[in-house]
Amino acid sequence: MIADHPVFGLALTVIAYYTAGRLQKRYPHPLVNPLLIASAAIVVVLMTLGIEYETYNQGGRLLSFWLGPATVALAIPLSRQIRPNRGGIPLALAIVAIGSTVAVISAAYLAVALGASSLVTRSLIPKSVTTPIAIELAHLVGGTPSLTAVFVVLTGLLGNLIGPELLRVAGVRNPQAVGLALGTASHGIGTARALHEGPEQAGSSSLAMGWAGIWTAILIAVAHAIGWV
Amino acid sequence: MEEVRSLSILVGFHLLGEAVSAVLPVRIPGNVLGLVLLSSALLTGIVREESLAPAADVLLGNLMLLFTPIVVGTMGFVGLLGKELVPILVALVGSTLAVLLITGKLSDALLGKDGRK
Repeated sequence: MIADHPVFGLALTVIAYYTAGRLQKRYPHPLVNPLLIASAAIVVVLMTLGIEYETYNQGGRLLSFWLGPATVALAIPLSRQIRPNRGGIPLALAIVAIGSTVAVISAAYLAVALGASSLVTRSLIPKSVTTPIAIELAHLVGGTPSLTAVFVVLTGLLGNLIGPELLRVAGVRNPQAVGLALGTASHGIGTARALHEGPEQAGSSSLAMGWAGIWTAILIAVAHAIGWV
Repeated sequence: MEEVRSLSILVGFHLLGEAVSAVLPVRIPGNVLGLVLLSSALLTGIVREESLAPAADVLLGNLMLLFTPIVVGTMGFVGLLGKELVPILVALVGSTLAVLLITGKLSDALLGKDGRK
């Protein structure tokens, strides 16, 4: 069958994503998210045709492989924000580290308190960091990378949708504070919203996204090494 | 050749990160270490941003496309999500709001109202 060829999953993904991207251009709204719409469309196609995920993913993984080099490429926004701003950076990094620690502990605590299974709880732990890092961390803590990817996207969407409004209501007006909060809580999708808020918010959000990923990776690696997770 | 040069730098640093990751006593993802190493190289001027841009711009500009196959992978977990929907949603929303407020409030208080201390 044609679906057994890797180009099936590759073509399906690229075409679905392109179509969803066009849709977003036409109806610009945070909920018209090309990632969610394309994924849902692909799931419908696979279910309709009775194609297994593994079959589809022979082509899909040709794309997701590039998340590794893409993470390395985040060095550009990261260094761009650090360069003009060195004096305030250590304090900003400390604040982001506190926020990221809250993200890990609060997610695990709430999930356990409400009776989530161990697999779901472990998959929730890295939800606030950018997907390529979150996926690595999901492997490390014994979660499921696919589940983690969805939690990461939902977390990003939430920050994207209500982050700036919530911060405004809470009396946070400093643009750098808004950027740091968005990048720490909701990684790249939150950073996309920060880009609409202003250049200072965008720069701070990129820095927070990158450092939150690094800090959370170190935190979880250490917690894993001493046997906490 | 500019594209190939930028790709070489990018995958070279990724490879370097994976190599460092393999010898470290704690498991830090190689792509994260590659990010740290490349950021340092950019800040010290060892690598110039322009020489990196052609490949990096393509990847960062289409990051969501690269995530798509992973999100599609959730279809095997639909049953599990349904059964645990309440704990999942409460944990996601509660934790995200807590991080937004704590990070935003701390930054607002410590970084000064003009945002450039």
